[in-house]
Amino acid sequence: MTPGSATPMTPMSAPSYGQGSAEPTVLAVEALAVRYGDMEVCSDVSLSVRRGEALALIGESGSGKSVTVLAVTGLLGRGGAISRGSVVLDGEEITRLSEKERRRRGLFGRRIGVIFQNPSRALDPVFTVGQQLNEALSLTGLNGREALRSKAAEWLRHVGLPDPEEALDRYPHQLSGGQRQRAMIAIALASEPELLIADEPTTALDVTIQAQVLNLIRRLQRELNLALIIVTHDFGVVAAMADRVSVMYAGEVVETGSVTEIIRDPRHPYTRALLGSLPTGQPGARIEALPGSVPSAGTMPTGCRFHPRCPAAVAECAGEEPRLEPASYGRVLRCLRAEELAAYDA
Amino acid sequence: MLTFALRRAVLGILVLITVSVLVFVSFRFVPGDIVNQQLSEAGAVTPELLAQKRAQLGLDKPLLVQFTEWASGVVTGDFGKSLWTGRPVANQIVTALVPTMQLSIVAIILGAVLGIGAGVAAALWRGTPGDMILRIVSTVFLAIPQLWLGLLTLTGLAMIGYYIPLPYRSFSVNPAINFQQVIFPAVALSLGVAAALSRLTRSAMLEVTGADFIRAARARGVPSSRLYIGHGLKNALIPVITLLGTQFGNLLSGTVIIEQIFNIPGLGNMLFEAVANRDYPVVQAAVLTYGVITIVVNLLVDLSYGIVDPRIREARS
Repeated sequence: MTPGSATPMTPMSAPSYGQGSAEPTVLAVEALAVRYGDMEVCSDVSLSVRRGEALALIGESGSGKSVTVLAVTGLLGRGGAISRGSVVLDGEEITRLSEKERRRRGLFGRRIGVIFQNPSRALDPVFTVGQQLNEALSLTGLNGREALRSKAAEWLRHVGLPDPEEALDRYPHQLSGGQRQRAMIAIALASEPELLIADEPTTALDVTIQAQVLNLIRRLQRELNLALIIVTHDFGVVAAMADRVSVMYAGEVVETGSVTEIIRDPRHPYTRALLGSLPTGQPGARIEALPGSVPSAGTMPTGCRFHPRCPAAVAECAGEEPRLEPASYGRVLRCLRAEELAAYDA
Repeated sequence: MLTFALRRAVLGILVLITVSVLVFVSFRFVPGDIVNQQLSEAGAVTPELLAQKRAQLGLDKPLLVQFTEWASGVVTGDFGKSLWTGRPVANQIVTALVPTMQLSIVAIILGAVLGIGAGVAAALWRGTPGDMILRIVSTVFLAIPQLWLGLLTLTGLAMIGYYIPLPYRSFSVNPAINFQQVIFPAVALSLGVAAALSRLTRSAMLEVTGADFIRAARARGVPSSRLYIGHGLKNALIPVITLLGTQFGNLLSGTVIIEQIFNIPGLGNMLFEAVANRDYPVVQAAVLTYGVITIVVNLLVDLSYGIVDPRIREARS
């Protein structure tokens, strides 16, 4: 696909603001809902990401952000299924494909690469790094022992593993946590996907190496001009990693916009609360804690899902469900009082 | 690795000594000794005659002396002579070992293939009728004694008009006949093993296939077969191999009766007759052989852990 051929698939509700980019949309998720049995764990998620663009998906635990990316990758597992909405990759509807069909269309690895949260658990302990890297490499049509080996070593060098040749024959437990995540990144990229999904890629790592791994992902994403979705609960990661951000609450996207805009000027009361709860670094400064917790699937409040915790809630918020809509000031958000609050701020 | 093997070898020898002492002592307390057995057919048995016969066989000496004499012989490779036939026990053991090993190896391979295969299938078909059927079948075979299964096989074969050819022929003499003689007892022995293995394999596979690295492997496009057999089974294998080792012990004890039923002149058959005849040296040598086999199998099981899991391999080196 050439840069000029932007598809009309970009959903109305999730355009790319602030980019003015002519790059084609790689992934478009529209009004997605996911169920595990009777539990709807994700109700209304719309997001999109273009080539060369990094989208952050942020939310508290239980907000449905991981489930969203699992649904996109077809890895929901037993009992999980998409119940509404659509997932479109490169203009190709992939919402309800069987595992076999996903495999046939190269959706596993070849077109979508995934970096998992905990590299210690996501790498098979009884296979060497090289063997696992080869599995991804072989999808590109590369074969032959020598060719695979040199390409694999090249990838490990690319992600900054010391002694790449030697690292190929190592087992995951023989690497440090940071090295494991680097290997994981190499594996995710070795099949040359166009969409890279990183599900909290640094949560399981030591604080000191988190920045290194994030920088690596960001650098490779730019070098390879990948569409990237990074799932996180940390606004620091959003600021460092993403061009745009979608904020999730209780299984719904509540606000989407460019990272600079949202951090400078959050509009949705939940986004504000989330940013307000960040430590400022000022000694003695109070952290604004958001009272309560994310409602679970069984106990979803009526109307706006955030209203019981919302400082700006009014009576209608309990009755009417807000939709995700473009606001007049160039942002997409889900709030009945969006215009009202904007006017008040001004 | 070498120290590991050495430690295991020393431990194995200690086990063998214990087993020898236990068998030596306990078997002498079984009522009716060899002299009674040998002379029971004859008339006019006087106590003097019995005592004379015992002295002749060295059975009048204190137990400790008898044991030391026997043990010092064993150390030099002399297992004594059969009290009935007078033939060297070592030769008898070697001859009998071949059919027994053939039978148990065929049976354990059959059991492992059937059991692990069924376990993997049941795990992949989890919750379907196929899974249900495999689980019911495995429970049934777990409950059936090998002895009964052996008899049932013979009866079943007779009902369809097939009789296993006799007498026994070794594989090198007549492979075709040998195959018919070995395959049915091997199946009878293997089904219990397969049943136990399939249940454990199923649960181990279910645990592994829920692991993150399986999800990650699927995400990078690993084909189903490699996903479940390569990544899944290899990770589920450690408990399965452990059970395989203990099942081999069970299977070996099963051969004693199965060889009897199917007329296979193996170690079990030999032991069975030796026990009935109170042929002490033969019983002791046979039990010692079973002990050695069990220890070797356990050693192989332990060594195979290292092959399957690099972390274990490393911890040992």
